[in-house]
Amino acid sequence: MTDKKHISDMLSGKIIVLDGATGTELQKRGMPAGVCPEIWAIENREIQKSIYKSYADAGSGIIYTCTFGANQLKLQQYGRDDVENINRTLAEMAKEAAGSKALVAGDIGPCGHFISPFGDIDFDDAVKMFKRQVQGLLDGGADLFVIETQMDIQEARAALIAVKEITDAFTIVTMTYEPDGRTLNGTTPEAALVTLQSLGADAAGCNCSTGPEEMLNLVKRLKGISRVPIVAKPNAGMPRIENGKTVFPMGPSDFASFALPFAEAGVNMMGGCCGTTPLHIKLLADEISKYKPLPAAENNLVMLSSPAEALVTQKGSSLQIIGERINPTGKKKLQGELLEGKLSIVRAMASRQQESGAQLLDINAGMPGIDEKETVVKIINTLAPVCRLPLVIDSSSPDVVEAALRIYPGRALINSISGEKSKMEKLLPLAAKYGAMFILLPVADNELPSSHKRRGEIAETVYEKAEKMGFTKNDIIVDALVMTVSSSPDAALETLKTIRWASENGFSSVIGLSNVSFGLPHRVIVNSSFLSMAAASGLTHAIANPDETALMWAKHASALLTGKDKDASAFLEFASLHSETQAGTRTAEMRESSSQPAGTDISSDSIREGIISGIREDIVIHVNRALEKGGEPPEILEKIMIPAILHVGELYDSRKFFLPQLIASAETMKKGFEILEPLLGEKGRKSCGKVLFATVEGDIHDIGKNIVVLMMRNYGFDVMDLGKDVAADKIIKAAKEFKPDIIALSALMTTTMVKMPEIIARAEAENIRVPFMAGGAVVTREWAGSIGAHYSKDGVEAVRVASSLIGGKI
Amino acid sequence: MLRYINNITLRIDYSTIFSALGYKRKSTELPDLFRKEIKGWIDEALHAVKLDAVTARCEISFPDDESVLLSPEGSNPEGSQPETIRIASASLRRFLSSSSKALIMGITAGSAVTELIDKYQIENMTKAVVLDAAAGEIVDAGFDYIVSLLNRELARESGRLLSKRFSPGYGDLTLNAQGDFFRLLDMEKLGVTLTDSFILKPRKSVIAITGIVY
Repeated sequence: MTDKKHISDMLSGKIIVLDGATGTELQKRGMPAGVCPEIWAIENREIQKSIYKSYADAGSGIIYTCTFGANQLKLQQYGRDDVENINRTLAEMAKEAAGSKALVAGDIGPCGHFISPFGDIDFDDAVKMFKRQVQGLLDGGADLFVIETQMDIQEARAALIAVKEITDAFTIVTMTYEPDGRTLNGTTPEAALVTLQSLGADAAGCNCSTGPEEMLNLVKRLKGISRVPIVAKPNAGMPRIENGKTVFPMGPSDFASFALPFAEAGVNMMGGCCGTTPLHIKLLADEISKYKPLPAAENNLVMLSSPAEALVTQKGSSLQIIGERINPTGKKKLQGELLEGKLSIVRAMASRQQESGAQLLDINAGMPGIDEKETVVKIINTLAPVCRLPLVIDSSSPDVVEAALRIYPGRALINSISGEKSKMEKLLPLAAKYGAMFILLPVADNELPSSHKRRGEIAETVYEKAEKMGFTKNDIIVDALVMTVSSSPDAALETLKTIRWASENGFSSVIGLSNVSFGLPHRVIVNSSFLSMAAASGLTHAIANPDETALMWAKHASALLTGKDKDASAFLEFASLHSETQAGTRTAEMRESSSQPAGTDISSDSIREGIISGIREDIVIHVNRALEKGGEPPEILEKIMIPAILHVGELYDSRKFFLPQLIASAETMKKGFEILEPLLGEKGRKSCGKVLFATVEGDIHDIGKNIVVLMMRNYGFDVMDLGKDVAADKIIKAAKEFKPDIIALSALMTTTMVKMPEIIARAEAENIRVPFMAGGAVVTREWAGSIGAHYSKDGVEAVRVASSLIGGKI
Repeated sequence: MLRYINNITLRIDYSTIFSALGYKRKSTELPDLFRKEIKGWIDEALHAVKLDAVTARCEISFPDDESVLLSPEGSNPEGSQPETIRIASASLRRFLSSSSKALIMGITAGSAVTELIDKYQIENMTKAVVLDAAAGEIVDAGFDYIVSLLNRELARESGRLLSKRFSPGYGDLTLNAQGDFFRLLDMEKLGVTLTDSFILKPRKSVIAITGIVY
């Protein structure tokens, strides 16, 4: 292993050139398809050593060991379990070949399985598995480590933790991004960088998937927020398939021409991935040696991340809401659910708070009667894949905090670490190990300070200790300690002073907002006023309920008034979503657009418009209004509603309407008809004919059938709907009793479709002589014809076919 | 060895789901608020879906012109050798004729989204139809995700997947084969069950097979 500092020193003087592809070079030198590359490389030692050497000779300052797939799970596919041995051998070969020309990076690739919560491999099992590989590489003399081509951020974390728990070696982590700029699992480059650099990656970046052109933009994005050197290893162009083979089209000199733009973008280590050769690397090395590396930019960025996205903000630039809802205190329903081990309320709360505008989500599962650690882990595993907001781990137990930090596939915020000695001793090292940010609670042993001065002193003490572990002020948010104003009149003022102290001393600040109004009436007013005052004092975070619209108005108005929302765009966007005039649904739009000129028959036009627009909510009012005005039920139906729904059918046929519009209209018609039906007199509505409908036995799909039934009823058919998975016997029995004019059958699967001719044959045998209709996803016009049934492709056609079968005119 | 992929996260275009519902960019006239409402329903479907998948790589051989033998690679977690299955289907035999191996995939959108669809079939059929289409497209996109994942890995072995997939119900591959694939993939671990008529439950669950070529 080479001292980390040595590599950092190298990086301050030059852009280090990495190696090029190993896999494609092995193939060129005769490795057959489908074999284990690592085992083949050992069996063909001289070939592998010549590849290593060719890159060292070409100018690579660091070469990667040929151990991309040399992990336990991949090797098992080839019946091998001597993980340490294989890794050690390949690292030794690399060291021999590289000599003094290049350092050797022990290469760790993906294990071929995803790690929980994205896959079936338990996180700690993954760490254990990678440790075997790390140990082998270390024994073989690897100078540093590289974890590459990762698309699962959790797997990258597991591998990085595996390295860090064994050695202090310099470790590079590169993820692979699709052309759309995210990993296949949906992680943005920023999210990955924030997570990995906090967790202790010494350099980070991207490799594979795209050519240099596409990767350049990623390097630019990463450089702006990186605290570590940036690494890029693009393919030799975007791969394409030619004659069934994957081809990388970019030649060595074109590849090397990207040296300047990458250097300007701030790359610190660059090599090539699939399709690149020693010549690509030689030309790149010649070219890139002309440029000096750019150091990481100094900045005041506060950075957190979820598995999907990063939350990166200039310190003090905005007020962020930490959604407080996921906390069982005082919530009976949530308590009950957590006790049962269910999480549907938690999921709903997370999604709701995200929609309401929270930027972070507080997770607290502290309540009597449950295993807090197990519950928090379960909540994280449930929310991490679906929630794009970073999580805040809210627990007083170091055990719980550690379990949560270990498995959270992002950069979390700890709520909180106080100045109490035992808390600091346990929690600060945990925060450092997992790279978490933390809320600093300015409380000391047996002391809850009431003055902002004393709070500042305690905060400074904690910070001094944290700084020694690598934390900066960007990583810490000081809790300004909100006390209840009803019991202590100066408490709120002291909190504001603490916020100002934090801001003046370079810290972010946070308050648990609602404490301030405890015991008072009209708490929302007090809370939102206090939030505005705190924002004016420089508050950066508030733990609050984002569903309280008044608070969110205060947040946005404060940003506007303190010059933090310069073009008012955030305020206007919030306003556009929450103004009364905009808050309506389609109903509001409909009401506005149907302001009729005087003298027209408003209700009849409204009924027609209502059906065509599919506004179910208003149809009852319109029909009732028409009745009040003396409209005759049969006339309303025949002269307004039926023509309207016929018109909808035409709009659907001409593709001016698509399926949801057709159904919304049909449902509106149905709702209107429900009012008229009892008024149509003894004769009721004149039936167009009787249809017996069923989805055949074995088939559980019935949404299509339900649509057709809805349509047919609207057009005046008397439909008996037997539902789904209906046996032939039941259909025959119903046919005898109901005496339909038509029997309509639906099937969605090829296996169940074959029930249709059986039913038709049964009906014939029982002397039931009525026409059959057939439809459903797998049924074709030809097939329906072949079994003697009438086909229709959708609800509109079904109405027409049914109508013609009984001699109607629709 | 089986490989599970849980909580697959997808970025899905609204336009894909709109198209599945018959939306035509040139002709469909859709008021903005209705469009917004439908997008909200699609988001709701995305929230309700829990997309989990399982895959198995298999050695293939063709004992005759009308059947395929599939033997899963690697061993079961307890060390035993997985069972070889024989699928009688000339069309699958033809589909896989140029492949060296096969990949069997099972995927499910979970029961929450189907429960939601059933609930809305009673309360709001329009919404149910949108949720149903969204869930269907999400499952389809899930297959695309697995294919790109596997292709990325296979590229390093100079292999790739066929661009098409084959599912029970296509050609002469009967749904009965679904039972064999279902057992091979141990889909019960994903909370999926098989009905007597070889249909997967919850409804938004699909099995497909494709070839690996080198």
